[in-house]
Amino acid sequence: MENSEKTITDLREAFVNIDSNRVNELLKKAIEENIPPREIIEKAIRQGADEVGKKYEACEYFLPELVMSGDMMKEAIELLKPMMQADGISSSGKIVFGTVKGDLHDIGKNIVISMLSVAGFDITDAGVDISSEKFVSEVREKKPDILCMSSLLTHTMPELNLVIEELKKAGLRNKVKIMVGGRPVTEEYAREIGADSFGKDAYEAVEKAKQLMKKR
Amino acid sequence: MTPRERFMIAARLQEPDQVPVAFLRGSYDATRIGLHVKDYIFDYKKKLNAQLKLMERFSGCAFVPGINPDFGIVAEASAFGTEVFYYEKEPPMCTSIIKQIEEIDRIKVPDPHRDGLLPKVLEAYKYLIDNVPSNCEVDPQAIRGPMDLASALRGVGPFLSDMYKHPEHVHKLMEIATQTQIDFVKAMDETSGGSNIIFMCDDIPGLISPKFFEEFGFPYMKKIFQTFSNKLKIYHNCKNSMHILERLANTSFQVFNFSFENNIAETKKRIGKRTCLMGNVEPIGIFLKGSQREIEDICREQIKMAGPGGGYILSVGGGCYGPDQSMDAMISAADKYGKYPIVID
Repeated sequence: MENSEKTITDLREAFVNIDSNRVNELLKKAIEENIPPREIIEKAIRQGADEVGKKYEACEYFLPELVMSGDMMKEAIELLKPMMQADGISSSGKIVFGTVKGDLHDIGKNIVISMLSVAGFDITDAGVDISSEKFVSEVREKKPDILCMSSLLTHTMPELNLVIEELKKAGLRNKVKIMVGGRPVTEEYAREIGADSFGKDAYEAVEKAKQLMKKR
Repeated sequence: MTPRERFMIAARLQEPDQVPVAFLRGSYDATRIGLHVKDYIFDYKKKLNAQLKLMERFSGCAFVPGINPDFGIVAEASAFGTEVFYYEKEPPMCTSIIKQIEEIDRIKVPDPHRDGLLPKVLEAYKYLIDNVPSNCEVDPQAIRGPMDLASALRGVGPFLSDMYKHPEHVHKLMEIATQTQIDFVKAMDETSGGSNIIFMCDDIPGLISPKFFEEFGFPYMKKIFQTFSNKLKIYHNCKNSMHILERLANTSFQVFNFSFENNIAETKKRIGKRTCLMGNVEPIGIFLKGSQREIEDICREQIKMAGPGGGYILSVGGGCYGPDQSMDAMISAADKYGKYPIVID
């Protein structure tokens, strides 16, 4: 096995084992060995994250492991970003992402953001408890391809609809694709309020975001 | 037999005259009569009136807790200085305050007579005891479980990743959260002269592995329950807990309000001989949005699976959200199908 291949394999294994210190060491080693950032992300980080996701689905892993997976992805992207820019790797698309007003939950949002980052999207994290006015101004200023909104509480779900209505009033609805998600949100609800897409989990959100970009 | 008497008999793993129905107390008391939740929290007269109205309207079920100070889940966290946000129709929420892990070293156990909303809780408790009609009991407010409180102070995401990155700090925070709750319950007992129940809500154990629950959850939950061993201990967890069911039950609560994600038959089989089960109708698709017929049908199945032999309370497997007609449907289902001895085809 070539050195670079072994480093990628070790990195993926460390990621799956949630060994964040070892992941950091191996990321630096991979950079020293001049492994292209796209290869590091695709073969070690993304595949490692997929494996963590499968273990979560199988109840081998729980939420702390998913949160750690998100943290490790975020750190890897931060570390590799300068190399990606130098290599001229283009963004998959621009996304503004926030949790709606009245909702302070951010675990799901952060995990989805990490997955989207690994998939090459350029993300603005608008944060939690974001009002419809703030979402509208983010869309106006950042001009994202996709606006992602999450709602984790049943009573904050109507905020998703409110943002879409406010975007219509501001004449911005046709300039951005909208994806919604969160524990109580369903595909049917997303359709009802006129969102373009719905992601039931982080993995589906990435696929749906890619599909939305094809429609742009 | 009153709904509360039924509840208490089921809690002792026996059969009352029929399967009791119980709902968790929450801001629905206020919102169903058009009262702003902040008014409900701080105006004790309105609070008592709202809670009594709900109990009068739903005389066929018990509430957990019964008449109680009900400051929502922010009370204990506020004692550490967290910012509290109030909403018109929803319970208050608060933000985390521990941004850097080292800050845990400087956090102290608050004084329930001095810090945050806790003195207000005690004041409201006293008011309710002094003013409640003689046929009603006043319960202490629900407490957050130690993991739930710790995660509120640190933020859920960071708290969960700290289990990997800073386990010694997680223990430190858990010790502080545990002592906070013990002091808080003792202060409520001083106010009332001693209460019969302790009601703890903690979802976090359902989110973590058996290994992490064993290390970071079990000892602290058990310590709180053991400290108040003479009380009826009711525990609420609205996350799937099938992976830690026996260990959870070993923390020694007597009533378990469990998630709709738990399989009720298996939960009954595994811990039903030593723990009274309270649940677990799906809260959103069925209880919130279902028709009366749908709710009754589901309740019938639940009674069939968990009712025989007693030790079962029909309830929602999550928070109580109303609406009135859903609560009526559940009460009606218990009347129709829950008479002991239970005979359902």
